[in-house]
Amino acid sequence: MSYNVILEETIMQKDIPATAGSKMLESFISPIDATVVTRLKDTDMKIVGRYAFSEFGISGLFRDYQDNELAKALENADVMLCNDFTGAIAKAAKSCGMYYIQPKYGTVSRYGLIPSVCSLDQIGVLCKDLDIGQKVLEIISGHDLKDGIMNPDEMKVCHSGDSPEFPRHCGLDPQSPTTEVIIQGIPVPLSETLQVRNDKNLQKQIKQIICCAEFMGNMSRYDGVKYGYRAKDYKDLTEMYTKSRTEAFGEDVKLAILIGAMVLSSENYDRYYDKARKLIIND
Amino acid sequence: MSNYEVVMGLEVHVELATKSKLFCSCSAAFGADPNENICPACMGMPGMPAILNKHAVELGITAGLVTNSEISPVITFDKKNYFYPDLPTGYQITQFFFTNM
Repeated sequence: MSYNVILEETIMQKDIPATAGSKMLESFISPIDATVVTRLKDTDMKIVGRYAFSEFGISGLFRDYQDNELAKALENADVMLCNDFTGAIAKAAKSCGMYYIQPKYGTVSRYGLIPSVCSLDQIGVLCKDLDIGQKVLEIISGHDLKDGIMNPDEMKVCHSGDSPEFPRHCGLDPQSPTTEVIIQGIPVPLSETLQVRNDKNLQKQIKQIICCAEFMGNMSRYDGVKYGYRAKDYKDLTEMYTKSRTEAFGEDVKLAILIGAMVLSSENYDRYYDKARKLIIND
Repeated sequence: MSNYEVVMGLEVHVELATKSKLFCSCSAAFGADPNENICPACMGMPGMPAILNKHAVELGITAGLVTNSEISPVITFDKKNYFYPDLPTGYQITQFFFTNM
């Protein structure tokens, strides 16, 4: 069976703009096909369009997505592939009778996925029919040497509607030759005992801190030098950076960058980022 | 000065003789024309996960064994953020949280 697939703007298709929903990447033509795109092209699935819920998906951290935003995404398609690192897409899907299948971290290759929050980034499937969503997920899942955090085990999929979990020992298999690189979200044994599991407020705070910290790092590559948006008038390098980023990033991206820079600053690092990290590791 | 005790740390670098770069498959050979040995990953483009060079790990362990050092069974990497023109991604991949597990 052939199904119509929409890709989130963060999933790269060769020779097509991969904007991530941002003015910053309006002119960025992808040099490669993402692994999920290659795998779809190898079957009779049809890629029928691209859609962005928000700039780099970050708005899901600050607001809920509305039913009509999801309906619009699936207007002319059976499924959408997207990276729900904030959990906002899964939440909205539940409320409007759709499904979001959140695969376990490391199930789907992130090669060609524009990164937002590396320790949570994972391509999942938004669908109206769970069977169809599952079929598409089976096509895109599975080990890929181009992504160093992939779980070489058989495919493991969470239930629909689950919000993303922080990865713990993903890929830490010393026997496997392809799981050597893990960037952030690394478990380190600590003796502190703190209760995160049942405290929704605390979970939300931790998620904001970790997401903004990692997001800020991933936005730093957009400097207007080699690709992406560059401001027209500037007198030196610093002004080129500042103007390009000021003009091209939206409000939510700027807010996340500011929070990220704050929680990683030397004055606040111990109070925010380090504490958040220890809490998720302990729980 | 006699109130102070002098403590020094040494940061020791070794250049590993790998054919390709540490986090992508571009050639690490010296002497090519400018911008010959580059790819989307080392240009800092988005969507390119870093893939560690297996041979670099083997040579690194070898260097550790030669110097009679303790070899960790697990290695992990982190990002060190700094915004500077010599850094296309705005972060370095390094080992900050690393502990001997």
